[in-house]
Amino acid sequence: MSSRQLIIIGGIVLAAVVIFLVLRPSDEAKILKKLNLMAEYCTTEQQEPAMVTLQKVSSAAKLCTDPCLVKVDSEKVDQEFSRKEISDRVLMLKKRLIGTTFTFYDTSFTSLEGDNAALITTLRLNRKTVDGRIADAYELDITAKKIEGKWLFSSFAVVEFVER
Amino acid sequence: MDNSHLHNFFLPSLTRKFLIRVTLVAIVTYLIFSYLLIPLRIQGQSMEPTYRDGGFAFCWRPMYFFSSPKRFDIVAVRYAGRRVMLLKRIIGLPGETVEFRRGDLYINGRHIAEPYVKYHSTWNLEARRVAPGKVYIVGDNRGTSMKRHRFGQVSAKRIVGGVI
Repeated sequence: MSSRQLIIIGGIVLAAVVIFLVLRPSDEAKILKKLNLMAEYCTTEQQEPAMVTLQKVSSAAKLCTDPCLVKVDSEKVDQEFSRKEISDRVLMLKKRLIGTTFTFYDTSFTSLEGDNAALITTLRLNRKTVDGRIADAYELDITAKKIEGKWLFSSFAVVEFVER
Repeated sequence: MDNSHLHNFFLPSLTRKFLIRVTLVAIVTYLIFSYLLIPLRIQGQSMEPTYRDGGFAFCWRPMYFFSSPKRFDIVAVRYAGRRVMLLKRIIGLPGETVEFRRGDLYINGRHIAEPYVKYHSTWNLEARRVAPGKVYIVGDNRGTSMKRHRFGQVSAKRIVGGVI
């Protein structure tokens, strides 16, 4: 192999490494992707088959650590749930909110150090009914942990900024 | 207007001056509608009949640059960001007591008329003091049960602007 060929191959390898480093998803992008997946799994279509619902529930639970802390002061919930309990709760939620779309907006990271991340986001629930529309929103504080190379959500807390 | 003017208006020649003008208009429009006059699409019935579900309004951010929020102002209150906001009316200011007796509003023990309320309620809420730095907000639609209506005191820092 001539030195010219070696230089070309070296250049290609170098370019491939640079492209990989530039284009590989950052930790932020990975967490955001998981958050969007969580929204997709919690969303329930009007005529969603039971098998799909069960798959979504199981997939949603797999996005969380075992256990995962959930805090909703207005409902007096402040406890850790196992994956099984999370899938049960998500299933109950989906049954109650058939036809409701979950979407996250305005997500921003408050910290991202090593294997720990904290983010704040707005969860928007939207449901069309025969009478009109049911719309609701919640601000959430979420933490995530990197376990064996995978980002998993370790806590969800509803920020209750409207106080009666 | 002759044909050449019409032609220039609808099919302008792409001169450097024209492109600069278009770019400037685009930048100014973006800045105005992103930071000063934020368009709002209303979802939900909590401000009916003043603002109807599916309606459109603007949030004028400079409204509170040099003044404090006043009673009866309609404001946009942020969650985690500005893409999803609560649209409510201010009824109580810091230091005041807010109370509902059979749907009537009482501030510091005095009855306050609310001409914008068209769906009268029977809400009863014990007197509570608005904390310093906070305002008390509520929607105009009192036709829903008090439990389902999101209202209460919020930090004035969360107010993004006035709604026009």
